[in-house]
Amino acid sequence: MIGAGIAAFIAEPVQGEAGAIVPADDYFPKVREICDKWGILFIADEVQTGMGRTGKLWGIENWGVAPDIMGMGKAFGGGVIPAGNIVLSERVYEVMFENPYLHTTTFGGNPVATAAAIAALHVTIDEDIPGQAAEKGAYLKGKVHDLAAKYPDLYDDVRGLGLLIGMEFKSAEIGYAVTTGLFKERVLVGGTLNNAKAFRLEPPAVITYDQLDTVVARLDEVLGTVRKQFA
Amino acid sequence: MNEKVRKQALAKSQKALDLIAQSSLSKAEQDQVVKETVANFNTYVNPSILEIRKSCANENSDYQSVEWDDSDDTFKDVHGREFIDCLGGFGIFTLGHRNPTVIKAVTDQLKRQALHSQEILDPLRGYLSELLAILSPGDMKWSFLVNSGTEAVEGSLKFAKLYQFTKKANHNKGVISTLRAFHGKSMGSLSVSGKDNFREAFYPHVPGARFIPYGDADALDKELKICDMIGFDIAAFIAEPVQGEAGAIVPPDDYFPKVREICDKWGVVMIVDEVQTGMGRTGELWGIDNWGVVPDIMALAKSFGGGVMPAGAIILRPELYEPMFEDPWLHTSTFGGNPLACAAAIAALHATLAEDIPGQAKEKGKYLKAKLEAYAAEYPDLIHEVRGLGLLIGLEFIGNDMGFAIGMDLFDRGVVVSGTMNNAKTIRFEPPANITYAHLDYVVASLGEALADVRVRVKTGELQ
Repeated sequence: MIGAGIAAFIAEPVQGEAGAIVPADDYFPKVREICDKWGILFIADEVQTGMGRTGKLWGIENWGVAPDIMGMGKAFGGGVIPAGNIVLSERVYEVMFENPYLHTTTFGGNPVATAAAIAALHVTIDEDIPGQAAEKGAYLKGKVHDLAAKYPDLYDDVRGLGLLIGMEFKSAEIGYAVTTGLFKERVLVGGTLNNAKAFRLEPPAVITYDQLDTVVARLDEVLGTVRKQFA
Repeated sequence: MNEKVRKQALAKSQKALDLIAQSSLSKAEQDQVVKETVANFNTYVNPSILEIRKSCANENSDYQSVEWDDSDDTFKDVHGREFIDCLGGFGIFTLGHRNPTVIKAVTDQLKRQALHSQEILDPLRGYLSELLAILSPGDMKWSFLVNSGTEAVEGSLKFAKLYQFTKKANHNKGVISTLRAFHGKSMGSLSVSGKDNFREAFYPHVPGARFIPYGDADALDKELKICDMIGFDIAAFIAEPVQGEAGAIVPPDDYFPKVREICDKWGVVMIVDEVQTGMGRTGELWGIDNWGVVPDIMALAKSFGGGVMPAGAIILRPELYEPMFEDPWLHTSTFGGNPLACAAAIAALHATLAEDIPGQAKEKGKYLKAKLEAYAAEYPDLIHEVRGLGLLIGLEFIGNDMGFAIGMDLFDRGVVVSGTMNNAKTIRFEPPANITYAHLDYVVASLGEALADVRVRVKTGELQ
């Protein structure tokens, strides 16, 4: 209506830094339709959700949607080398055939990073990292749901997909107390940059069930201590 | 995942992994790697890269050369053909290819830890930052570590704005940059890069960028006065000590001392982009050291990772970084300052000093530049100008086709030189500082032959 030409819509399949926010199941299929209707490109930011994290190779595959552009980083280098990638449909990338120097990078696609990424993709498929993330994510999320039921005075919400699990607490102070308590118990969890009340459980997909049980047991202990602290 | 896709991806990746693990290739394997690489570039990377090379090659040229391994001042293609590297990865390989000190540090570190947890303290970031405080000009002290040049520029711009945000009431925060400057191609650094063809498709940029001619300090003062008169608040001025992609443009000797004074007068943050000029390239450790000026912020990358790891850094004077103490998460990086990159950068700085890379660049730069100047006198019909400092040397031609033709001709003689993104008529010589004099002499002799060839092609009207 105001004639501002929109080029693209960009979103994370699961919002990571916002605290592992999983959208409604019809969200991305509808987004795809709406982008097509208005002739704008759909960019999926798979930096955190890609490479099996959410139980599928790419986060967006949870809803069977094909974006026009996918941004990758993080686990794309296999946890060894910094690496990222932009995957595009041919219609979107064709404009770069005329002048490939329009966008360039010095270090992007260097031999060490590409070796790491090829190996990372190989291992991800070979060791069924998406499957492991789906299974262990369901297991861990179930356990954390039990803890949320046990500590309704502390928890606001448990959410996530695969091994990208967010726990939201009643206050930023409680979240911080649980995080530091876990650190003392030598369990490292991820604070979320955009939501102080929430933190993330985002272990490697190759974590053992024994380790997961240890994490849950230590979390239970810490929650007990924090409950007393805030009572 | 569908089983067919899974099997196909596993087989393809296994094949590539086997290739990576191989130390040598049979003739049949060599041919196959070239064939598959060409096919993959055409289908999955960008087909026009090959087209551009093809259009500029002689009929016998092997424009499909695929690189395979490297050491010191050379690299080899899959077929074992050796090239003297006078492109130097646009400044990555100042320490040579696979410098042994850097390789040792990175492989040692790789055995213990590659990337950091993101959350707790790690030793190498501390040691590297200390080293940078010792080595950087004047009272520059704090480091923020990143992965690439464009990230170093992005962060520099953000820190300048953040500093001004805490100091001044005005909030429009423009940045003055220079024409033909190259600071990177991500949105923020592109906004202050001064060449139309890289900019025009990507408007709107980060707002507030203004441009003045490079090398003209009075133009900066005038622009700041204009901005003051119209109430447009300028956060920072950014420039390269020697403009690289513009074709090795060296400013007048009083330029940066005056720029420093003008920035102080107007309360503007002085950012120097040392991505290409840093780490000894211009004959001093930092390009800006050529004029004894202390900037407020320095952006580093390219050779900072020793030619082995992607690495960059932003170095700041004390008060410039103070606003980040309040909220250290205001600007962050996942991979910046990772243990492998820190190991590489520490080793790179050590080798740069131990091997006197700046001194080598200075001496060899003088040697090579003198030879090129002799050619300029011999070929006034082809060569417009020779410029540069240390081993960042530009050779500007008179006609549009000449530079690329010389580059392809040299390629066929086993010498790789670099085109410049912001100046089509110029080629750059930017070899590792530890290039041998024997190789430099070979480069000079090859250039002489290439110039003679191109002179003939120009006379026949084949080239302009």
